[in-house]
Amino acid sequence: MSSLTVLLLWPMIINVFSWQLKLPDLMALSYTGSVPELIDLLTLKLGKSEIPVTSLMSVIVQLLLASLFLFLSHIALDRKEFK
Amino acid sequence: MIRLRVVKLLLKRDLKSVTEFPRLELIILPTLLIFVVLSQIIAWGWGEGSIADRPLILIQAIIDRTRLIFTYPIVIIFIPMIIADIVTNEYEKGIMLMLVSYPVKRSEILISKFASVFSISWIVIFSTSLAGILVVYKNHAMLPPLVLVVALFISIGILCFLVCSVSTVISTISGSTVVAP
Repeated sequence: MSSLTVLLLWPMIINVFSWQLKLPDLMALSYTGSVPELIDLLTLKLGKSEIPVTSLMSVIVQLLLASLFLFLSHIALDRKEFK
Repeated sequence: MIRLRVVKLLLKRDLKSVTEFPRLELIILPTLLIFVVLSQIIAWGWGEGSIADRPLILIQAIIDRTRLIFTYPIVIIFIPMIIADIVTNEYEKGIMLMLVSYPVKRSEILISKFASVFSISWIVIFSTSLAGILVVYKNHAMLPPLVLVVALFISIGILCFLVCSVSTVISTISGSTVVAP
């Protein structure tokens, strides 16, 4: 079941990896590049849809999601009754 | 408040159970082999002439392809399996009941379990990736830029963090060795 959930979350995970490959360019541009170039590099497009998703945002969302899961497991263990 | 000293003691115990004899070896050895062989094949496939011109693209190609074959299966299958094993197994054997009866908080038990699997999976995946890069360096004298390696390290960390947290919540709620993985 955990494997299935990870598979369902996979599109979001893929986003982080595209961000990882863009990071060197991003760092180089932050010294020399212009603002439109930087925004273009930060913007990802999901499939054919036109909704731009910033990959940096997806990293933050992933970290928040992971913290939420941890919090949920903390609640679950707290309320567990051992017989 | 979470007491670091208690978490450290629990972590030591959990790390021992995660790195128990056949488990870690079964994961590391085949995956290391796959990674090194794959990085070699990709390096040869690019041809001698083109490698010198495009070292960065080559290293990116290695990371890209090995991710598909190596990182995805290990992340999807092995991490949930290890977490499910150390959480649900302890439910079923009654070790968790014993732990809860000690003067330790349940959050401390949870954090130590999560941290042990998270750190081990991060180290295993990153070190095997590094092994592939080093083999390419030995044969073709090329190193990726440091920033790419750092980016790889960070992204693997984020990935492991998310997958570990998902697996932890499902294992804790289900409590069954059959359903959790």
